[in-house]
Amino acid sequence: MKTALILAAFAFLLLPALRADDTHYSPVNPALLYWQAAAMLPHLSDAQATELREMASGKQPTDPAKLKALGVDSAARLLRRAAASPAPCDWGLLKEDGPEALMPHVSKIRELANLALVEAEASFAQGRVAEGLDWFLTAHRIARHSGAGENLISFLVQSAIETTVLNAAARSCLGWDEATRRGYARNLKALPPLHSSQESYRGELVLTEWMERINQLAEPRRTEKLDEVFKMAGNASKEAAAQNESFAAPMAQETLRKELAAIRELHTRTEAAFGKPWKEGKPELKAIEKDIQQSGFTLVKIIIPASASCYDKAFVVATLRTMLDAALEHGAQLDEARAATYHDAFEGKPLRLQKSTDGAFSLIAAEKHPKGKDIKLKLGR
Amino acid sequence: MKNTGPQNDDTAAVREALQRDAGRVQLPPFNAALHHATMRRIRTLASADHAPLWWRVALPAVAVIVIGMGIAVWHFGPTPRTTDGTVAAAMAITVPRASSWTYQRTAAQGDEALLAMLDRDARTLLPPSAPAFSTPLH
Repeated sequence: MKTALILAAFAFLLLPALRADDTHYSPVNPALLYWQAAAMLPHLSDAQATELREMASGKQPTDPAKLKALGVDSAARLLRRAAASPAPCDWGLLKEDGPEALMPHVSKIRELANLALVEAEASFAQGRVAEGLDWFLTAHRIARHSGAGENLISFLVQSAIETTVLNAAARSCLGWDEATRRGYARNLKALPPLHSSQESYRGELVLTEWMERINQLAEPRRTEKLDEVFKMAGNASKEAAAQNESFAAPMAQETLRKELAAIRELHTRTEAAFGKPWKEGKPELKAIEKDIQQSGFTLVKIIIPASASCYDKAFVVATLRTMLDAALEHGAQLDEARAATYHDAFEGKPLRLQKSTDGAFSLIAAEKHPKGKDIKLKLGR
Repeated sequence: MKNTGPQNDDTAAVREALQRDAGRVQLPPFNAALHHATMRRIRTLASADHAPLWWRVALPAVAVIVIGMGIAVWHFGPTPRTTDGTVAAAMAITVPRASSWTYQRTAAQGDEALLAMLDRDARTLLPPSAPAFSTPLH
């Protein structure tokens, strides 16, 4: 008896090793799989590419037959595997190249995200709800992968993709039953967080570091390199002339050294502000903006990115996510009272439920951000 | 009147000796072909020495000018136009289009400008290479 028990315990411990082992392959960097998926995309005409974008954004209804005709099945299969890879996403950006660092992935990843959304819409149109939800989660993962790289362009692309997915889910969710809605909400909550604006802004220091290295070069190489990147020679536009003029003055070596020191100081302050809640961070960013305008430094005004708009964007996406959470929780039962129990990410003001002239419902934030633009999530089609 | 004296006698003696020696030399028969060939050669050499110098300067100079113009036309020639007719300034801007700086400057013009550029870039970057990825198993 004792022997039998020991043998049974031993066999139990060995059981996992006896199962078919499909985990001995290391997970692949999703970036590499995204590029493979991009390479498998068939050639699309301008009209087809536009149609794909408009189906993804909901501007036109998705026609599953049209999607089939595009011949994107192979790319789509690989895309799903790319998004599902648990390995860290590394786009291989050469940060030491500063402003010359190539980022071809940011355009392609948007195209792939649109494909995922159209696959979702086609699945819903054909009654395959579970598959459609899986494609929505794929698109959410694509958004997070697109934000990797610690730079503001990646952050903006992440925000654009996530916003499109949230809007797409909001169009469909009123048609799901409660269990489906809550299951989706759980899966959404389990996803890794979006890359923060602070993390992305921190990475922008590579431009300053690059310029500091260039500033140490001997002439004429130093000036040649700076002109190569920043001077829009041969371009007769007013913008180019203005940029060339503004870059001429700070490019003397000692002047540039002082400009870069000022950029570093302002960058540190801006990065700190990006990590704060909106009510604290916004006034700090306004003060930094004022200091920049009064500084007398030319390059500072050009190199310091348009930080304010990127900062706001994080809160816009967070508010849209809260709106979707409200819709997933309550579905068609959502009313003004229930909507008011949810708050925007800016000043914590209650959300409102608005009925438009076409009978559609929208959740809307109390304040417009940026100025003049409503933060609104349209529910249903 | 004949000059007489000791020096004149010596000169006369030498002259007479040379004439006696010359009489003993047998001259070969006249070779007309050799004569004419030699004259032609002499005339050719004489005409080369008198060729105009300006040929020697003009020909190389013209060659340099023509080659230089060819290089200039190739390098600085008409600016290429894109398919939509806009003048391509890409020759003057060496920073690649899909670079961090390019996207940042476009983002400064607003979200719509950045997204429009990304949509355009997605169409032209990495054109499909179906043969490399197609498989008969599918």
